[in-house]
Amino acid sequence: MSRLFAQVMFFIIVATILAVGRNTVAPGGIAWVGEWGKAAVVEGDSIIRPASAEPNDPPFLTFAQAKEFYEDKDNVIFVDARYAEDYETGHIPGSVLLPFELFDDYWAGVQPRLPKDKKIITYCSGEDCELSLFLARVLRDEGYPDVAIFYGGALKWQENQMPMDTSKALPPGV
Amino acid sequence: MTNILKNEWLALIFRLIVGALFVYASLDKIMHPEAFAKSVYNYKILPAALINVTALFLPWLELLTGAALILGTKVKGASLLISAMLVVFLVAVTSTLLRGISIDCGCFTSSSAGRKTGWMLLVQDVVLLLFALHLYFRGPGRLSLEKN
Repeated sequence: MSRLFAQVMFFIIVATILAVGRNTVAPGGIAWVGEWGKAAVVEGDSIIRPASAEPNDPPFLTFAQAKEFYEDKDNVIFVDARYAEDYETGHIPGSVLLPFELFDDYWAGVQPRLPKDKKIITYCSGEDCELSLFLARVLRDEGYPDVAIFYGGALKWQENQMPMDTSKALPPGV
Repeated sequence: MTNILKNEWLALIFRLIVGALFVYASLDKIMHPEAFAKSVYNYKILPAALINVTALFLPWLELLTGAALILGTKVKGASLLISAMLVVFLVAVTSTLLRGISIDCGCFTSSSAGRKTGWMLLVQDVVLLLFALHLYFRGPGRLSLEKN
């Protein structure tokens, strides 16, 4: 039994030494304790943004701002970054389905529905979901001049008793 | 059936499959610890303070035990640790499936796309666990640095 113990300890100790060495010496190391707390809340009226947000990301909106834009239906389009099943469970009315994980499959069919002269607001399920941020970055890189992120997402929308639509997404090209 | 299981070539095959998979899986995680830490975070299981340590340590353990299996050295210790890691992975993946969490983004999803990968991972891990347990109880088999 002690031979087994010695073998196990060998692996654990050598792995530890290598891990410490690599993280200390080689580039691309990370902190030993990361900041994985909840999304940081900034400013009084809770603009929620993820810890991984970068300075030049599209702007993050408060719920109040998202609601105001929602009422400006002619100039604003909400985009749902989740999978279709989640969209059908409940989405912001009028929002367009564009799953970030399936972007390449959906883009040709969805692009005609997203003119570049409208404001695009991405969202996903809420504080724990970064698909909205990733999708917003992609759309910005596609040349959309006015992109924003409603990071509070479907959860925040529902918490504030806003209407949720459970219709299916439109087929591509419509 | 037991004759097949006693076959020392079978143990060699198990060693190579499990060893190579673990070595291969470890490399990307070693090169990109930040991305792997994010993956670990997405499981929403570990407390925040433990995530980075886990992400930094685990891939090296995978690499060393995987390499040991390939070479056929310290096989009992390596297969025991690999079995333990696989059990932990199984529990973690099952937990995300039960909670409806997508491992890709760490968010809740009822989508089947996110879950298919989860179930496939489960099956894969169970198979690997069986191989590893076989090696633990039956020894390294053919072409190993240590005697059977």
